Amino acid sequence: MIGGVVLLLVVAAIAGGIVAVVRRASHAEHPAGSPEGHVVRQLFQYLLLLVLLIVSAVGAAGLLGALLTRGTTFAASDTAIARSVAFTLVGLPLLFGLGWMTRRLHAQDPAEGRSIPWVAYLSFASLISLTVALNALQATVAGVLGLRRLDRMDVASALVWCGAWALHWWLCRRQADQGPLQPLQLAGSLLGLTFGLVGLGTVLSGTLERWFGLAGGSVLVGHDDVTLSGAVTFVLAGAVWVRYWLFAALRSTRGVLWHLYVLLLGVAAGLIVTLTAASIAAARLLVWLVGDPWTSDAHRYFGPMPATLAAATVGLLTLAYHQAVLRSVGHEERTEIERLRDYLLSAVGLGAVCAGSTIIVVALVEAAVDPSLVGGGDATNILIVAITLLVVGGPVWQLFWRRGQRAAAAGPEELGSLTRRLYLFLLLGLTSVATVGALLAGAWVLVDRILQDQSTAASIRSIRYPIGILATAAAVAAYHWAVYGADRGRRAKVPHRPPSFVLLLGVADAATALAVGRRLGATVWAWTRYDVPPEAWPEDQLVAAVQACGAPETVVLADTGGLHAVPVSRHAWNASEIHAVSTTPSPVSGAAPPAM
Amino acid sequence: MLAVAVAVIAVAALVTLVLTWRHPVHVTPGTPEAAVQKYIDAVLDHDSEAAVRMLAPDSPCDVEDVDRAYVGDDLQVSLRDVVVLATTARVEVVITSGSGGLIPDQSTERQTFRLVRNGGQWRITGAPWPLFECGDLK
Repeated sequence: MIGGVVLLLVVAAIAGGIVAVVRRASHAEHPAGSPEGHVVRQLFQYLLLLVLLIVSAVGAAGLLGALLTRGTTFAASDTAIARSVAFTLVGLPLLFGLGWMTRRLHAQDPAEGRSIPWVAYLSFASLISLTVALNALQATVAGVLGLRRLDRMDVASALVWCGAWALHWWLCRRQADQGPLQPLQLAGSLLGLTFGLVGLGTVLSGTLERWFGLAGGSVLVGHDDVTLSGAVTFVLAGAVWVRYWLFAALRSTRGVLWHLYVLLLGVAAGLIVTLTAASIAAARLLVWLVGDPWTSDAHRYFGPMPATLAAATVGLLTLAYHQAVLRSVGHEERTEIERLRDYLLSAVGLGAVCAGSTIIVVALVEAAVDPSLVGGGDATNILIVAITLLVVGGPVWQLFWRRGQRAAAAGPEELGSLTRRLYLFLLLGLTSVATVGALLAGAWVLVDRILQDQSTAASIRSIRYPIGILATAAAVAAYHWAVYGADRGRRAKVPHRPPSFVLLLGVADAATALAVGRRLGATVWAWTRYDVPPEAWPEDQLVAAVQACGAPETVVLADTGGLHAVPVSRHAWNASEIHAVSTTPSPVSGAAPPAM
Repeated sequence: MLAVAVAVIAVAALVTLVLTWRHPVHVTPGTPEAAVQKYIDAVLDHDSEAAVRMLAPDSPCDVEDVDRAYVGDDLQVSLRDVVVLATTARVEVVITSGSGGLIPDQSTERQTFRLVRNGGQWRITGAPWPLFECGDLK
């Protein structure tokens, strides 16, 4: 008893000490020119707050669980109770103290609530509490419905972590600017989407098992609890997705992060899951119909089929939904985001086609060196898998690649886009690496077989996989080299547009700028540089530099090598940035700008 | 449109599951499958004495073996096949174990129980699931 009181006093003293230190730090004047110290203080303060939150919640959940399971066969062990008591006694007072100080800081300085460490704390605390709460809540609901044994520790955990999540949800709602919370909204959406689809897939898989008569015989012991547990997961995770996606992320700014989420985790992941599952299902069915299945027992052979079809369905739903969301953005012109989607999905389809064609080449080499293999069960099965990959991946590649090709034929924007060039370079790089690797491996194995005095047929058969990879990589590389060459040719034929805007940066006086503007028929600004002495370059050289650059908008400056013309674009800003620079001096078309 | 599709799938699935919900069957007493059901029920209830009573007299397993055996909480046993040959029988079952948590981690295994008729009652021979190594550890 006395020991416990002493322990409490020690903990209270430590908590008071930490709170006092933080309070002194928060009351101290921030010396001018040392914002780093301010940021470091915020980092440690919010990191400590996060750790204390986790420690306190784990401790409180453990204590509550021990209370709920008292007297049952699932009572908590002494070690677990000791840990929970320690975590709660140490963590909770510190958490309340630091939380109170944080609240005062936010009241004194509104900028504190907008700081990145605070937003990061809110995001991590919300996500951690959401994940643990979702897991415990699912187990609790499934237990209450009789789908699994009800563990009261899960009940305690659900209560405590749901409370922690609700508190941080309220704190997030109080943030004046919701923009910095977009990563949290997207992460919460991903969490809800992933577990929701897993739940839906589990339910669908169990349903298909019944429709196909694959659910097995009479149940001797137990229930079909997993399938209905999937329904519980679907409902709970679906609610998370609705909260974080439909009511938050979907309505947030559609910037790079937002598009990356929709494209990579919605469209691309959905397509990959769909293609993979559809390929597996189709190949399995074809092998059963025309190939050589590994068993004649249909129940065993088609046992995994419901799960495969369920995966294909949820993948397709994900793909279709996120495609619809992207279409709702409604750009008239083809944007870089659309290019990214098309080339990404084109790459997915091309990957399936490459795998299929490689397998076919391997099968052809095998058939050529050993005709007895033709018509064999294994050869037929492999051929079925290859054809399935081609049939599934080919149309996807064609659909999305043709979009890019049509856009490339329609105008120069597609030819010059970073995404298209990256796609081509990456493919050429990958095929080059694959070609070199296949050549090396093939040569190594071939020489090894020759030195072992193996027959020609056996030697060639041993390098069938390098031959398959080499043939496919060569074909892909040749096609895309041709596309790249055609792109370069078309880019070269694009006529240079006459300059419309020129900024002479420390290289001309007012009279020269006026003359250059008249000769080029362009808007010309002349700005003074303070880091170099004023200098007026000859008018002819300035005009030649602008024309050699060939861009509609150009900045001309002088460096050690002479005049240097840089092509620029004044239209790559978003609305807020355009507003910010609208206070710059108005251009004077063909007239002298502010004198140097 | 997609929301409707998801709703239709979910409702159709739930209706199917509820209509085809499989409760444990009460198999005919005195049959091999009834003996297996009784044995598995006893094992899951941690009633080792009752489980051992369902074993044949020449089985190497005893109460201590059953006490040591580990069986998870989330378990389903389905009947696959029953073959009766005069005084012997073979009962094939599919045992599905694992929880239906956020990410279901189910595993399925097939087990065969071999039985012998002893005094008009079917009894399980050998070291049946979940025992495997009776007597070796003594």
